Amino acid sequence: MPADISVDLSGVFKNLTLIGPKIEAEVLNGLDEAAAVVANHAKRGHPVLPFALREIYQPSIVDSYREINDDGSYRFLSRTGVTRNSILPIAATSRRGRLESHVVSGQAHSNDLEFGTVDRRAFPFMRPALEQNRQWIQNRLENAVRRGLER
Amino acid sequence: MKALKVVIHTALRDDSEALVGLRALLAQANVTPYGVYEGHFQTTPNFKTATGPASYLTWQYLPSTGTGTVQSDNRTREQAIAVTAWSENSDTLEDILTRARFVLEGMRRVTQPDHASAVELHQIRFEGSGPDCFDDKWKVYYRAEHYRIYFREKITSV
Repeated sequence: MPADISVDLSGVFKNLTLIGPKIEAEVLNGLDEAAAVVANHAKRGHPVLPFALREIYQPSIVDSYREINDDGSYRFLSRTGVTRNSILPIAATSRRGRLESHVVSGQAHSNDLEFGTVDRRAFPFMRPALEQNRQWIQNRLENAVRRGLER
Repeated sequence: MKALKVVIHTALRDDSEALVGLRALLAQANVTPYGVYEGHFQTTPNFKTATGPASYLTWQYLPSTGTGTVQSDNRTREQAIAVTAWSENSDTLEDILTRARFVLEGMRRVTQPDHASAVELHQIRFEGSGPDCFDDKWKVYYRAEHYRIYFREKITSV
């Protein structure tokens, strides 16, 4: 025969509503940091081609200026630095309980760089930047939640 | 890692099932390398062949993929890849990407690297789609889809 037991959960929910904003604030901070880290990584390693080499395009010489990823693949080369400098982290936001932060590139042709075109191979830079820092971001957000609970 | 590349490329290239296979969808069943390239197109692509419109599939490793585990002792590694379809017809594009997903996801049509190779394949998971893009010069639609490969490298002393 089942025992007549009741549990009052209202206290728990009250606590949760108090904890919620604290965690949210911490996670927003964490996301801001994550976006900055990813943006910095995406910006790094795209040196501007020396002025004399901008006009004569010789692959062998140009390639010697390229930075190389961990796995040996090339990073894209900047001609003027405009694309590189247009990579920005956007401040983290909370909309309807969904926490988001974005890293954007202001140049329209960044799509072509990241995904390639029929004529030009892809030089992914945004997604590898996220990949490289995935573990760090996960740890950072875990810490944020923990800190929010302890606050 | 080399064995991993071979396995992915072979799975995409050799999907020769009639009508629904990648070779049929790309409309390049009789032309080597069957419209599948690693990284980028090797030659000037031809989207309008004598028999009709042709499509292409390219795929590549995404660099800088981390180890994925905090403890790297067990050597379970991750590698993200992007699979991009190029087609004049956006419907065909969807079909190609759906079929590629069928081939790769859960390793449905991917064979394990053989025993001699130093890689053991665990899982391939679909992760997400890139944006729909349009190549102005060649007038083709293209889209990248991302997958994550979980594998183990058998590292032995040389």
